[in-house]
Amino acid sequence: MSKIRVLVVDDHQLFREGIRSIFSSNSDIEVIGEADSVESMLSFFESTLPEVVLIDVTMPGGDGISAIKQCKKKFPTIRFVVLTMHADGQYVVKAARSGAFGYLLKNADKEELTKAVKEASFGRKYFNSEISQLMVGNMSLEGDDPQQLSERELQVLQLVSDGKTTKEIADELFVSSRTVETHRVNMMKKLNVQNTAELIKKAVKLNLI
Amino acid sequence: MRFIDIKIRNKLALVMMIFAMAIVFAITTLYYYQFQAALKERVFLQLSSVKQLKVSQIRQRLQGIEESFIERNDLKLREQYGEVLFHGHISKDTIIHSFPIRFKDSESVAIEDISTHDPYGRLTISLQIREPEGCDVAIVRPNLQSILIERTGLGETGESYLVGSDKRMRTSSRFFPNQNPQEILVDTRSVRDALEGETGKNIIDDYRGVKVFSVYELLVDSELSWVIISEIDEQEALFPLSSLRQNLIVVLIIILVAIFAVSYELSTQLVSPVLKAKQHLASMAKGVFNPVNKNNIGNDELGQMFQALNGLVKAMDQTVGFADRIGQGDFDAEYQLLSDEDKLGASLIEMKDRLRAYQVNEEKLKRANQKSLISGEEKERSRLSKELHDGLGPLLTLLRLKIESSTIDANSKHELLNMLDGTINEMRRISNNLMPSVLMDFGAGEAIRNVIKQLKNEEIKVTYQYDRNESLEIPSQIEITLFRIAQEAINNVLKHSGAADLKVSLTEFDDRISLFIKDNGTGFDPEEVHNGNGIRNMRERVNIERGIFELTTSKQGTTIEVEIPINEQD
Repeated sequence: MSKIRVLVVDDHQLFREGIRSIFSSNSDIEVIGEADSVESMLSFFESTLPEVVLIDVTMPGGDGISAIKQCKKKFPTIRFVVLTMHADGQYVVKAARSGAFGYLLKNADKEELTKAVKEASFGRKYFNSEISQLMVGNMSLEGDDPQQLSERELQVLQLVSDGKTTKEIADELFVSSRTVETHRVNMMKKLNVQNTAELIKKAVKLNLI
Repeated sequence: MRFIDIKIRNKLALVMMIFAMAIVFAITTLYYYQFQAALKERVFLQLSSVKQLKVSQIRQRLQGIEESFIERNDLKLREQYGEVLFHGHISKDTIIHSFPIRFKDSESVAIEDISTHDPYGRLTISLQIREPEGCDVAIVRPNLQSILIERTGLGETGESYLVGSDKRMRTSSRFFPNQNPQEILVDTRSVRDALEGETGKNIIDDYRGVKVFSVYELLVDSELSWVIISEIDEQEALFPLSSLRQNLIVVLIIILVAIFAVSYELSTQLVSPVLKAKQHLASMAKGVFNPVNKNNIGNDELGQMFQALNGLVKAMDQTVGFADRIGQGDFDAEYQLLSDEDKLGASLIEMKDRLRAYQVNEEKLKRANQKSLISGEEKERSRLSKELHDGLGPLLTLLRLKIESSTIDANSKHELLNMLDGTINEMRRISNNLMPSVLMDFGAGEAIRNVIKQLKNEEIKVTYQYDRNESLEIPSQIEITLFRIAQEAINNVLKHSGAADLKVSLTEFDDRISLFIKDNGTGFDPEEVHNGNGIRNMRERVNIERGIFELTTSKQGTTIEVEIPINEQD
């Protein structure tokens, strides 16, 4: 069984060397190259395709997670594992969405690092419990069609149709009255109506409430 | 001093006095002369009646003498009519040398004045009447003096006397009673006119050279031809006139004083509004704009002047008010130009516009300054944060790797690794505090979410609602602003409010972002906030982005509303 070929992409040379030394004694993993930026990674791919890429997020010239998304179609065989200092859920979510097979913090143990690389090479995603915890609450809705009413707007619409005043809605949704008003105006714009009565009529027609 | 330099009050008084004096003087003079004429008339009338009385008395007496002569009643003559010097028959041939008698041819009694023959000039007449042989002759010294001396109605200086055709006195003068009347020549106009046969009156110089009122008449009886004259000194006759004159002068003086007082008072009243107007104008010149009390304004020209003055005061008040508002920095003050010529108003408006432009510019500059100050600070934080996170972080992790692969004993390794993990976490915390990388990479909505996530261990229920708008591109400085405000506000809630419930919502609209933070804590007094300048900083940050910052606080809690417009950057 050949060793898992790994490319390390990080702008810190010392760190790259550190990773290389960790895997140097590993019988299953071989670091076949290093790149200090997304650009140099892409030029590396021209000659050799690694199985697993350990990639940092914040690098001069372009961030790693965006690069994963870019490469997903072009190099479908390469499995990216994010190795970063960022311990925020947003990065994890973004990485997962972009198609990363793993997400590791740089202060991860040697064993964990090895495990993640191996899992990725098998085509399995690896997010340990700490990382999974970070993701909770960040999987928010995304990509609403702007012409559709947002969830928030639907809430407001429901309350408006219940006959609540702006102030009551604001209290209920814990937003400012001004914000409720803006929601209402935006809904009228989206549904192309002139006043609140028409808004409710149209909403009923569209089965929104 | 020129007339124009005299005070109006004095000028008016002077003119009125001169005018009134002229009228009073004219009237008085007219009255005086009319009175004088009437007085003269009356004096002449008086003199005439006295004279008439004397004439009729003299005629009566002469007639009595004549009758007694015809009756040859010498006794009666003596007793009633005077001294009879001679009475007897004289033949034609007899020449009486002692008596200058010329024989007359008339049938009736001929009477002749022969006073000139009397050595003392006493009044002497001769009477003769024809008889068959010669004539009957009497020489009588008639007592006419008693008639003439009767001075009833003639006052102190009046007299009546007879003058012969030789213009010499026949009766004694009242003024020279001891002088021979014959020696007194009375060659006055009265005598001359009377001798011409005229009866009349006149004011003349009498035989003494004194001005007198004189009436005269020629008294003719037979051969007798006397002029009877009644005279009175003008001075006495016109005495009522001089007393009238004195009275008139007194009245005139009283009238003048009255006129002076009245005209002075009147002109003072006329002038006092002018003086008031002067004072008003003077005080206006000093910048005091008090309107004139409307109750004191009439409807005459002066009243209209005051109304015009009030109009001016009002206009000035308006202008001053406008200037005042500008002075207080109210550049929204409106001002209606009083007219096209209202240069002051126009200048003020121009000044206002310039000041407003200056203020706008100043605010822009101030905002730009604050902006660059804050953005400089944020840049520095960001740089530090990155340095720690991306510079120091990897070095620490590298150290961790080294320790991990080192051959030290397991316990020490574990301890070192724990310490290092603590250090890395601390480094992350510091970096995050300086500037969370999520803020730059995912925006304020996510960064705030992370802040709130960290509150899980606190004893406060936090609700966070983030309405994302993917299509909105939010400038990073606005993300920072929103995040810093939320961060500060949440910190304040935790530290000071004692709230059990905190609600945070961030809503991204197409053209603005709204941040709403509400707690149910105890609130605070915005005037007495002593926890640094946190709220002022929030407000300033929002102001820089031209947003709206509203803070309401009560014992039921505190609400912060922030709304920042997008795409309105300058």
